[in-house]
Amino acid sequence: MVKYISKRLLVSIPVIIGITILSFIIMKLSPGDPLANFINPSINMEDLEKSRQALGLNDPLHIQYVKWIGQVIRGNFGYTYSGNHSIGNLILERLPNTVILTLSAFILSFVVGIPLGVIGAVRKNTRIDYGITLMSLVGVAIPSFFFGLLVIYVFALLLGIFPSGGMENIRAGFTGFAYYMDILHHLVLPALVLSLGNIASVSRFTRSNMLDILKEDYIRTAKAKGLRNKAIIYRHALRNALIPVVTIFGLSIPFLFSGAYITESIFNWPGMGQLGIRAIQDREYGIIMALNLITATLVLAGNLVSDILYAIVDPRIRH
Amino acid sequence: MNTILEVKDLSVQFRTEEGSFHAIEHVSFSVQEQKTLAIVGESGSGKSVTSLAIMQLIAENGNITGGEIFIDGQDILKLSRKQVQHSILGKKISMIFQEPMTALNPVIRIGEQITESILEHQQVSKQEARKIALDTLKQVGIPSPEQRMKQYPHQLSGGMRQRVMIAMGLVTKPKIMIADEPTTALDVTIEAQILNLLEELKRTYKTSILFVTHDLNIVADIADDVLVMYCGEVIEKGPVVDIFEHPRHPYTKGLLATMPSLDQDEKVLPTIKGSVPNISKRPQGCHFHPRCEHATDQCRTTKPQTYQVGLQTVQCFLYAPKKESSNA
Ligand SMILES: Nc1ncnc2c1ncn2[C@@H]1O[C@H](COP(=O)(O)OP(=O)(O)OP(=O)(O)O)[C@@H](O)[C@H]1O
Ligand SMILES: [Mg+2]
Repeated sequence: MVKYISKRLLVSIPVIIGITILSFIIMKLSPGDPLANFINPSINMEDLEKSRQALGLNDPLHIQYVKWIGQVIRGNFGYTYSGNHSIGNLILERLPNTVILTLSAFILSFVVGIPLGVIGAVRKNTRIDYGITLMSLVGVAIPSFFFGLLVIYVFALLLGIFPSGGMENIRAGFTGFAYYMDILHHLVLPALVLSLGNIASVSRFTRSNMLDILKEDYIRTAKAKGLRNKAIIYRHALRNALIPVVTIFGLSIPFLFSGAYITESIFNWPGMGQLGIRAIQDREYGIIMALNLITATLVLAGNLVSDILYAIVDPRIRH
Repeated sequence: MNTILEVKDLSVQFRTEEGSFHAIEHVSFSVQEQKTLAIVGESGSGKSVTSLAIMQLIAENGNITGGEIFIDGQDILKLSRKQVQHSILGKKISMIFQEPMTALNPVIRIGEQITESILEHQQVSKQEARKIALDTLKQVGIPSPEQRMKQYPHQLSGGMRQRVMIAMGLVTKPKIMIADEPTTALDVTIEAQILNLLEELKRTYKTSILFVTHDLNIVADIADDVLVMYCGEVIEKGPVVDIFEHPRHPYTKGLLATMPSLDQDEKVLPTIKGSVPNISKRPQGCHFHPRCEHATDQCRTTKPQTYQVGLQTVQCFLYAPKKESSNA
């Protein structure tokens, strides 16, 4: 197992390097000038050219890349063009907020999605099943910006039970337990919006796995043993049906992270997604590259975690 | 002698896209205490449907349309699903299946799969259940059972898995065990071992066995009584010796003639001419008449009743009491 994991980690290194090269090239090829924001009638074109030179924007592409990756390896993501802020610090400030949001959405997806799938399978072709199926279809089909606005309208404006955005009530100045409860209060709607699609796909996936498993010979054996329904469903069927579900554990991590871009914008959640969208508008290449790298690492880590979990839960692979 | 299993007039219907049909019709038989009844018949004759119906395990698209099933004197079709689960299945009757590869749960340890049956049906502690499971695994000839208990099914060979299935079936000491072609998936030497084991266990555990097979050699070896099925019906039944020495039904005769025997030199085995009719196109009257050399007009239109000949029961007009003789 240790050997397998270290092998997988080693393979990831060239993959990550490849991803950084690709995204570097794509970004440089896209039109737009990071210094365009500074152009105004009072600025001297020569000065602009000087700072361009100083920032290394005139170097050949491969030199720019090598400089950048050299910095990154030393843990330095560089500085923003405007304001000369440390990109590493900007991201570190926001990373925890995004992690809180995505982690909540992640937990919600499985804690809600799996039971819904099981109920759907066990109550196949009943009204409950049809209801869950309908909800899942809506959940997958509805765009999150629309669902986000809908949720804000209903729960924040009409009912007024949840705040419409932000992460904390700064004016109230909560401390201790109240502070965390306040964040939780702000978290409910964005986490719900972010997880909706995932809840839907997890429940569909669980349902169809469960239905396949319930047709297996060993389920017939379990019935022939006179076990009660609970034992048949949870001990014999669910254990098997969940094995493929762990593969979407890992896969849903990058899915949620990218979903967070939109959700954070809708709910004004101070996370990395918000930072990323602003960076794209301002052509802050350093930030975009850093976020790309983080996302790519997450995708790879997610895949690795899935495969490891798979091996842990399936004794046929473990041995 | 006590009757452990009695099936009366059992019929099972399936609904499919092409329509509904009866897979078995008016099947009746009984199994006595500590006896082995073998059900034989060609593929599709309804052997598995009969056994699954007794276990209340027929597929979703099928249902029992008539008949009664008594297990240890109790009409189980009158019980609720819960009662059957709780007091019949796994407790009074158990079943082992054809495919040992797929019949065990791949993600649950052998030990847990056996002990869960015990814990479900007997008031014992976990340790006691474990001990019973270990003893039973020893009984079915599994070496180093302590180790095996901790393993998963894929770590065992096919023969070992079938032994585990048998242990699982016997661990609650049921009155009767159904074995649906338990050796078909195994190679010949393992098959012989498993059959010997079943014989031996039948005596130690004092269980009856309902053995489904299409191998007449096995029937001759292990059965006390035989039930011959054709197209979902019982066409002949009786003690094994009588059936093998004096098969009555033309189909049974044909079936026995196809049996290879050691003192036979012929290269070509005789076969019954024709083939089993498709389930939806079963002929009128006696289902066997298109393949029968004794078929008369009566056979083509009316279904024969069952007639008693000695200890055998036969569904064939050849054995109808002659009108002339009763007049005389
Ligand atoms: N779920 C089902 N739906 C429709 N038809 C079925 C179903 N199960 C069984 N049948 C049909 O019922 C008939 C009897 O099948 P059964 O499995 O009892 O045969 P069998 O005697 O056990 O044959 P084999 O020796 O091949 O195991 C077959 O024609 C089969 O196609
Ligand atoms: Mg069968």
